[in-house]
Amino acid sequence: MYDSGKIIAGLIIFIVIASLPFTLNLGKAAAKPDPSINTFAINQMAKKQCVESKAYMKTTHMQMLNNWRDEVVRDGNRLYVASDGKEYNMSLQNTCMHCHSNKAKFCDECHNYVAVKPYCWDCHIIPKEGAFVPVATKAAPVPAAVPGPVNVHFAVGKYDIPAEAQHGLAALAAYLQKNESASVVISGYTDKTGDPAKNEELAKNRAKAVREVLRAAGISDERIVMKKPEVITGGADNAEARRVDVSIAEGKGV
Amino acid sequence: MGVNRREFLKFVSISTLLGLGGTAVAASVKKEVESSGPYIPDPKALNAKRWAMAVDMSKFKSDEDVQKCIDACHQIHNVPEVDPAHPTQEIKWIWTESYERAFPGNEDEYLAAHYKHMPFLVLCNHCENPPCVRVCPTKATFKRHTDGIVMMDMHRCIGCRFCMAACPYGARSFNFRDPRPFIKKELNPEFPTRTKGVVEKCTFCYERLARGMQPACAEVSNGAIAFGDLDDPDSPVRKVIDNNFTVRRKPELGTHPSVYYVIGGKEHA
Repeated sequence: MYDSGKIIAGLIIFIVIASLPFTLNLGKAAAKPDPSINTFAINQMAKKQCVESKAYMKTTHMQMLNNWRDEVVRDGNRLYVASDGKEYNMSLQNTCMHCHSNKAKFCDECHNYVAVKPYCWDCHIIPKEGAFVPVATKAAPVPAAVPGPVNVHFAVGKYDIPAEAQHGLAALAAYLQKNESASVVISGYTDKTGDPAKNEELAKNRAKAVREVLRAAGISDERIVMKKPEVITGGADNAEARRVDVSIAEGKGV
Repeated sequence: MGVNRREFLKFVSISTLLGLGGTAVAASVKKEVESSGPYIPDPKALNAKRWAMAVDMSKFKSDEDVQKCIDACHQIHNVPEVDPAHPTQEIKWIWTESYERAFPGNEDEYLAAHYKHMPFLVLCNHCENPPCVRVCPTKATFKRHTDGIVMMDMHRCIGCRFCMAACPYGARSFNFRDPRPFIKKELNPEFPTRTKGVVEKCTFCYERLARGMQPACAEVSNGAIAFGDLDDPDSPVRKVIDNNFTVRRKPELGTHPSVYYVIGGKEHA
């Protein structure tokens, strides 16, 4: 071979240059995408279930979004009936991103890996990453369930609180002590028998008796709303009618 | 000759049967893959054959009443506020026009100044026969067959602006720039913005109707804007049309607008 030195050297240089993209990136493989579902909304779910199965969502979410878009914009259909029968509002911003409020750690994780740039976010608003609450700080106390209305029943003509009603009132008072913003509405009733004027006084006294119990538990007056019912006689059954309704209202001065 | 007539017919009939069976199998497989379920309207949604609006100008007592409608719309739809020094880049969903610009052809030099300077609230007319829809090359703008709303599908808009040329009411605006930096108020996170290179306009609040709410401008207008089904004789909009003399913008063009105007008495400030 003529000029074998030059040819072989040239070949070696060519091979080195041609294989540079491979040799330079050797061992620097991009990490496998690991989309995170660690968001506040998802952690709140008893069963972590997306609109459809994980496998289906993985392969088909873009087709699904396209179908949703056409149904909502072009046909005015708003609800998607999933294969398990549950209904979902078809909305990227208000349904998908409500749970997946961590776009950077969920959407972008795979999209960047496969180098696709969906143009969703040109118009649709990315949820604030602040909406994403990590599990560690999620331990904030879950507000206790609002206790249902309590009915205190009274004996004929009496307005002293019977012993069996104390437990329900104590639960209401405990809730009010914990929730500063909640207030309580008290309405007194009587049965239909007897003088209406006296009954009105009696209904008022019954409501006042309940108020005293709450005051004793340390609930301030501005959080106790005395509401006179439109009809004081409370229902057909007399035993049921002689009562005071106590219910929780959120926010002061309802 | 390897194949006689009998052999040939046998082969053809068997392959036809196989072919038919094959498509049936393929169809059933396809069905399994496409579990993208049924789509239904929200039961709370308001429905109509043809949505329409009646703007009673006499019920707007002050310029603030008018501005309130505009602000409500622009707030919930993330409409940008563009510098008034660049009027060509303005984005309009609902805005005001003088009498001679709202109803050209009816100008009258002796028209009372009171009417001349009334701030007529104008918006997309959601025409029965919309010229913008006819010219759109991608069907990005289309008339919904269910309720007559002239809609925009931003995903399809290529920004050719034929629709802007076709619309005789100037109801369409083009995003020459990314609108997001110009949205001064806080973004409504429930509604998308638009992007550079698409045309936008009023959509009769289709997203609110779908959830059972009135359009935003009608809701804050204190009854000055009636909204309802033009096809239903008992609807609020028909009541206004039945009891008042109403006009529409440029009816001579044959677009059959769905927005009616009551010019009314002297009450307007």
